Amino acid sequence: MFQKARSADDGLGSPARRKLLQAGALLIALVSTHSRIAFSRDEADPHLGQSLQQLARRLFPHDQLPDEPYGEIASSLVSRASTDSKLAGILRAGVAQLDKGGLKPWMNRDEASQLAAINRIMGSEFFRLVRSACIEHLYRNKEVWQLLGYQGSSVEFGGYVDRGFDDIDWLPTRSKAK
Amino acid sequence: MSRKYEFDDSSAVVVIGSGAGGGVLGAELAFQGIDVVCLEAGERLGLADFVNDEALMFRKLTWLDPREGSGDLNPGLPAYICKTVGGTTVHWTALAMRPLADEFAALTKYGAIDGAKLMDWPIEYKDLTRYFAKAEFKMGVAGTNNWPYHPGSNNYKVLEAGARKLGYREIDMGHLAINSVARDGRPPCRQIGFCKSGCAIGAKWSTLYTEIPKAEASGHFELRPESMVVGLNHAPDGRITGVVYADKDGVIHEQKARAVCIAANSIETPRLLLNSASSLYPDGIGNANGHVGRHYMRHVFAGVAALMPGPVNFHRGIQQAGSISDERYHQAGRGFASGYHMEGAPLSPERLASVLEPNGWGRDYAELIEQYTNFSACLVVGEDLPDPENRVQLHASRKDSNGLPIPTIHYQYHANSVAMREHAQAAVNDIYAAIGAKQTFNFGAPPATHNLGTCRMATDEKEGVCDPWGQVFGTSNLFISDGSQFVSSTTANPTLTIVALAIRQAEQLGRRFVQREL
Repeated sequence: MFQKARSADDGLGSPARRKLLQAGALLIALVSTHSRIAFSRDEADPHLGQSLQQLARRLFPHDQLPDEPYGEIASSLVSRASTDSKLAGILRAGVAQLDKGGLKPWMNRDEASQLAAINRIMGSEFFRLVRSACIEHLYRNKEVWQLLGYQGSSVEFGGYVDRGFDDIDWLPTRSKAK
Repeated sequence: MSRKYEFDDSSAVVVIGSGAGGGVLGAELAFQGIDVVCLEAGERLGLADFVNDEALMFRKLTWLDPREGSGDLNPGLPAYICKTVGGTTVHWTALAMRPLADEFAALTKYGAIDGAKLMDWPIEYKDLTRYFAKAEFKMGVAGTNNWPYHPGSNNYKVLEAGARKLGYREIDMGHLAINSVARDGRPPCRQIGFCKSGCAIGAKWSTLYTEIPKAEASGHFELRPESMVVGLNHAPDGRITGVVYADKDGVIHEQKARAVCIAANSIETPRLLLNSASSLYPDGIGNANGHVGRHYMRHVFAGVAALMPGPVNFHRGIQQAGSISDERYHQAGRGFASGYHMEGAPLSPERLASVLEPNGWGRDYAELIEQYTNFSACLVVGEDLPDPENRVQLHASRKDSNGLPIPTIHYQYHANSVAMREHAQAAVNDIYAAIGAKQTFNFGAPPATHNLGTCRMATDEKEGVCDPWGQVFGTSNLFISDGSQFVSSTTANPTLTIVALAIRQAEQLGRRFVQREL
């Protein structure tokens, strides 16, 4: 949540948005897309969104999860970038960096080469930005909470006073608060 | 019934801020029959607004007006404090702890330390004993006044078992200002968790639903929420005559005042003094000796998360899962002055995923997060040292929506704090190892919730901003009423001391009003 507060100052006006849309239109003309990855958003640059979605899954792979939560991370980044040219630049350059040096675009490579490419960008601004977005979206997602065993809101159930706040049973000696 | 005061009515004391300092001070004045107008920048929420959603409540409660941090601070969010009626008492985890008696004499106790400007408080523990007791009673602090401690939660039990194995003795669920029994018209705790998101049943003490409604019922108190104070006006003789503020529509008003008490937390309090500069106070009010904004302290603050061999479910129950206090005592030979507490505290899935490793990712990392229920976590909270170069100032060019310079906050860890943090994290690691932790992870502090010392009290006006009663030097009716007064941070979480100081100040102001000194 602190990452979110930090980025709140980054908002830019609509000229940036127009620029990005133009850039996106140019890209769409250049990049051919034939991906299996679901990316339903009406988006000017499918390659960017699809790469980000795949990156999100590689960063935090939970095999039980469908594509939707990962797609949401990508679409939220792309949508923020549509009003933030600095962010748009970082995202585009980051994906270009991943794509660099291979015969195929990064997202169409095998898992091992995808991971190797991520290792090369680890710690970069792009990496930290996508990682933060992943954490913010994935781990606020109720479907993911279920997977983790996090029970979330409790007030409507009367809290945890009768629902296991002190039910630990594996400690060597039972202890009691004084 | 809540009173209404006219803008040109100068009979009321204007209190700026409604948290642990301002909310308590305002109420304690009103209970004596002294009229109070309380100006609060944030909006007034009710219990129904408090939902168990950390991200949502963070946005609703937190002070997110632009600020700039430098040094070791998060640049965009240098501190984590509240902008809401009740101030930080809405999001605090309710640890109401007394400092040790000799911690009020920090310089005497630790001796001079390079790079720090230690000073003894101009008051002693015994000057506050009575007020600590009053504060504990007012706040319903568990473990005092024959109110039972809260029962130990899972996270507490893990820490307690490990700590006992290592021979620690001072282990308890903590003096929490959360009802362990029904009292004061509020229910006992139901182990909801989400204390930091605002207590949805009002079991945790917050001025929002204790002092403020009681003050309103006294007929001597008017709360004006969404009122952001932008300046103080004064007469040629320096007497503060009125408080200028912007209401929620940005309309500027001046409320005339008999006296003014500032309790806006350690960033906004000095900012207001600096932003009120005039020909009489060219460097800001109370700043003739250049101390306003200096000696900014936090606490030494860091965490350890541990993957345990079985389920803990640390998200269940009171967030402040107990306190281990054996390491709070100053001991020679540890490589640092003063000491620290170890305080159990859970992490949400989002926080866990952020902090385990700063750049953590990949299959192993995801599998670690999937073991969420088996994690325990603990914070360390220790004494920070005052350094005049750690300070709040006005930004040279950036302005807020009212056209006033935003605050900048510079803070750098003292070597003492770094050594203490390392010692403390190692101690928590040992505790977890003693009870079979599979893996432990140290993590750094989030932006500080304890912000202190920027208008410190002193006997000699060359050494501080206000006198031992909080009265600002060089003024006749202006007072500091929050943690800005602190001379040292002590090893205790600060709220109980802030409340005790506010009760004491209200008593003294009352006497001076009766004697017509003010």
